[in-house]
Amino acid sequence: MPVNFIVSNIIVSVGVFFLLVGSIGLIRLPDFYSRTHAVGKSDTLGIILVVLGLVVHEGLSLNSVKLVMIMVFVGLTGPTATHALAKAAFRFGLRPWFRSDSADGTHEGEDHVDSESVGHEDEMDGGLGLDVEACAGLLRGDPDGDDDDEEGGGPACPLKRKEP
Amino acid sequence: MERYFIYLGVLLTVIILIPLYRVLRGPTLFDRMLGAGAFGTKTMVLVIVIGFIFDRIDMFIDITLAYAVLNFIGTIAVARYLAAMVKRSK
Repeated sequence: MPVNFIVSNIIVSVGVFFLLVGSIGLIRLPDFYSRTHAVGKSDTLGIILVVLGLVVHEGLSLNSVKLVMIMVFVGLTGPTATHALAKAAFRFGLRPWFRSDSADGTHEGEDHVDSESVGHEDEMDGGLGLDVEACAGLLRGDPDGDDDDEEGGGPACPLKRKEP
Repeated sequence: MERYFIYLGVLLTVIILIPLYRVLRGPTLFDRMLGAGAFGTKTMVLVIVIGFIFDRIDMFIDITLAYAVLNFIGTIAVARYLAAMVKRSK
């Protein structure tokens, strides 16, 4: 068994480990902003390591130069795409997860009322992650969302259409 | 040697299928898009490994580069679209 096959085997195994960690993190982490860590860092490192192992296996040729180009491209674009998505989510009004939200349902004591209201908002939310108080009219099924207190202060609903 | 790449491809397929849970179940729209992006970037590695299995790596690398560019542009387009929707509504 040649030595470059062993070295590439080790590097590819480490890269596959990081890819697996990224996938599990995408499942297990509590909210969107923490899931972006799993995709932005762990996946990028895993892909770079797997392709590096394949470069070691391939040797010195035009194909390995192209593989190095893929490594550089993934290292540039993976975190950039994740950052753009996270910034869009922040502008959209998606709130980060706090410990007091207790999304897993194991709330006790004075956290009870807080998590009750959060669960109610999530139910009303319809799976979009909107700012619920600003979008209350829209989420209740009113197409214009102009039933209450929209000209006052407070955040504007991002889905609400303004008249031109 | 080829059997090693076949095992690697099977393992990568199992790893790729995990983010589909987030695409199907994800509580927000952004979670679904993040899962789709993770799916695409991991599929790139699988395409390279398939190229090593078939011993046509020179052809599959170009497919991988095009796939990487398309995946990046797709994620950026969705992010810009959502950000522009917020900006227009303000």
